[in-house]
Amino acid sequence: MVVLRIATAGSVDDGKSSLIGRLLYDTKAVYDDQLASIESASRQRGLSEVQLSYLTDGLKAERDLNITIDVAYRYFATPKRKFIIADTPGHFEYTRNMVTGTSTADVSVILIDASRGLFEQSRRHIAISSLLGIKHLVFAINKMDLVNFSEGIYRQFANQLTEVASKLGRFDCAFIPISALHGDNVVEASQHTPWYHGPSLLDYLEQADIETQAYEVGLRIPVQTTVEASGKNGETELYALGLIESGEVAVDDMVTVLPQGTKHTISDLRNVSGAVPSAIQGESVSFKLEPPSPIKRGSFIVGAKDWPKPTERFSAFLCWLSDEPLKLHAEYKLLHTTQVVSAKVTHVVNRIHVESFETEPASSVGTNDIVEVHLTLDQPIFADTFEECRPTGSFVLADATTKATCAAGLIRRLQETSEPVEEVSVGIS
Amino acid sequence: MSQTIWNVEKEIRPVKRWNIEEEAIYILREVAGQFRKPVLLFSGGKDSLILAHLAVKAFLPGKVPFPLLHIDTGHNFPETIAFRDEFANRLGFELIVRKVQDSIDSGRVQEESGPFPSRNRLQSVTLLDAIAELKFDAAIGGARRDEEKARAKERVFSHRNAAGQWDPKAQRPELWHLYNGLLNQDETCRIFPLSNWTEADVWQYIVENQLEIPSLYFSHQRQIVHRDGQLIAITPFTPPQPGERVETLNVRFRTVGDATCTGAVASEASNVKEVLREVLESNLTERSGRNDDHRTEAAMEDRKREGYF
Ligand SMILES: Nc1nc2c(ncn2[C@@H]2O[C@H](COP(=O)(O)OP(=O)(O)O)[C@@H](O)[C@H]2O)c(=O)[nH]1
Repeated sequence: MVVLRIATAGSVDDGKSSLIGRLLYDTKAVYDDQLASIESASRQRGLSEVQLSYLTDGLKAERDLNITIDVAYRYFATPKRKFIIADTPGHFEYTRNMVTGTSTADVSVILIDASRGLFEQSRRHIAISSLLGIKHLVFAINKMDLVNFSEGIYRQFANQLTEVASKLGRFDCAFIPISALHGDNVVEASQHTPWYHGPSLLDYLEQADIETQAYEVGLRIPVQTTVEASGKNGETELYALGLIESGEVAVDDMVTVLPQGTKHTISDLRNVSGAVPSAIQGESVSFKLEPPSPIKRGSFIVGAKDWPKPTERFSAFLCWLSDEPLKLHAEYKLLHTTQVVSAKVTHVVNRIHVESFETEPASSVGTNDIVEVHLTLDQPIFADTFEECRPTGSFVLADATTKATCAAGLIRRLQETSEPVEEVSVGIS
Repeated sequence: MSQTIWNVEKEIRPVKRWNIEEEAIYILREVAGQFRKPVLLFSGGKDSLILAHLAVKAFLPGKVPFPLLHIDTGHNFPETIAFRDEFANRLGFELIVRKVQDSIDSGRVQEESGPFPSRNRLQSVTLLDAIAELKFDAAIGGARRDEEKARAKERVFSHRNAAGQWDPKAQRPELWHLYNGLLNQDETCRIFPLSNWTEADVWQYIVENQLEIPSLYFSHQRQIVHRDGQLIAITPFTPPQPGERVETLNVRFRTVGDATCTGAVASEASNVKEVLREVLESNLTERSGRNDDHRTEAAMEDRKREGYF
């Protein structure tokens, strides 16, 4: 069954938890015992109505503070699709969770409270979706019951949001007038919005065209690990295991093993179901190389021709996730595909104001900042830009001491070793 | 100039969308690649069984590069233990067993008192001791995020400090499929490759791959009592209490953990397809048969902090 990954975002109190609770409830993904448990939790906190939002507010602390404090994953299915919702909090200080939740999403669902104005928060969500390369944005214009299901108010929001979205990215946008509390246009079309002819939110999610982008950079298989098996004559043979991040591969194809740069042909290719003559982007495979090569985790299988260039220096966008500010010129661990190298941030080009994509000078980098930086590595990696190939154009920075994840990185420009890094500014022309 | 940062073009070549099986296999290969000495936590239950099957698939034509570890509460149904041994043997796994009874005998933990002692909570200590003793740095588990509310926030690579504890407030953000398994001295990771699976997915997978599962999952006759709204099977560890009426019913189990905390459900489903149908129609979550989660609203979260599975 097709899996659609959804990231939801909204400012506090826009009704995100209610909406997800409603989707789960109306698609029967809520079980009786869960309902009983949120009923009793609602009662204990002195609330008369059952809070469907409790279905998604998992941790004790959240219930007591009445906020969602971390990314939570929720599941529901219809006969057409299976859905995974990454429910990400909308508080300013938790933008990092939104980046996390959105990194794996096909679609962003952005909640807007129709009874209030448009907040900076929504712009931030649109901008982050743009930065992470999300193509589909769904604006759920919520609490329509509080504004008498007014078509005028809906249109005003749709126009305003269209303008913001077209400034920040190239999206497919949908605008759906809903009431998460009462269920209008969430699963079923509402009788209160005769002027609206579009799909309900669930119809949209069931039908959204979610084809994965095929990358054009050629073959990319980062080797995750290797296994040994015994060959026909009892000799030990080495197999590489990895995911095809881009391109396609067939038995007898000539490939290059990096970093050595040696040429080999592919034999005994398998995907998760067994031996196959060929495999494409998105498949996990195992194969042998002829002649054998001393491959290991971190080896990189690419085509005979389209090689990524080795690079020790590049510019990238960083979403800073850690509470510890960035330390310039300090050592970080950089996780890129299946490799770990040491990296230093040598220069902060600027901070990107996420509501407008305008740039401003930055002297420090702290939690939730999105900045453009220059990085220098202690050994070259083979990479593409995020725009060309997301899996080989993205990375994570980990603190060299605690090993905790502290930034998400998107490679913007690769520099060959001797060239100085170009000063480029981002954004709107 | 275009007003976007990334120029996303429409695809022209076919690509495969990741499904939950491919994702789990990718994660298992990451474990083999990133950790020094991983282990797969195996209970004989359906989730750990699927994990072991996926591991076999993930490393073909080679062998799975890690053993199975079972933490035996001593309160298992005999069917589960027989299945566990046969399974490990058939698939060529090394099986390591560590017993909660040994932790009790050595004074590491104390048996709960009260009318229905459960060893479910004690397992955490035996598990942490086994991980330390055998110097494992990653323990792969079959937990799913749809099982329980505190699990909905758990990462795929779930970091544990040197004392084996989970801190829900200090989880590592997980981006794309770049899993950060870097560790310091004595730190470990719990790995959950089935995070994105639901109970229905699990049964679907068992049907499609014709996996053998313990007989407890199918309808069979059993002596039970009604206790706190649940059906409790009568075993040497769970004798009937005064005043309880023992009945014989057709039941099956939705999980096959510790007999002291695993409730049965009345069922006539005698094969995998019938179970799948029941699951799809059911309106109780699978953990509802486990009385250890009902003790307090945040029971699971509290146990996880202590190092539970
Ligand atoms: N009238 C009305 N109230 C709503 C609607 N959706 C949510 N609310 C209320 O708005 C408040 C915040 O909702 P919640 O779902 O917790 O918001 P979150 O902070 O975005 O998760 C709660 O009191 C909800 O009952 C709606 O469609 N109409």
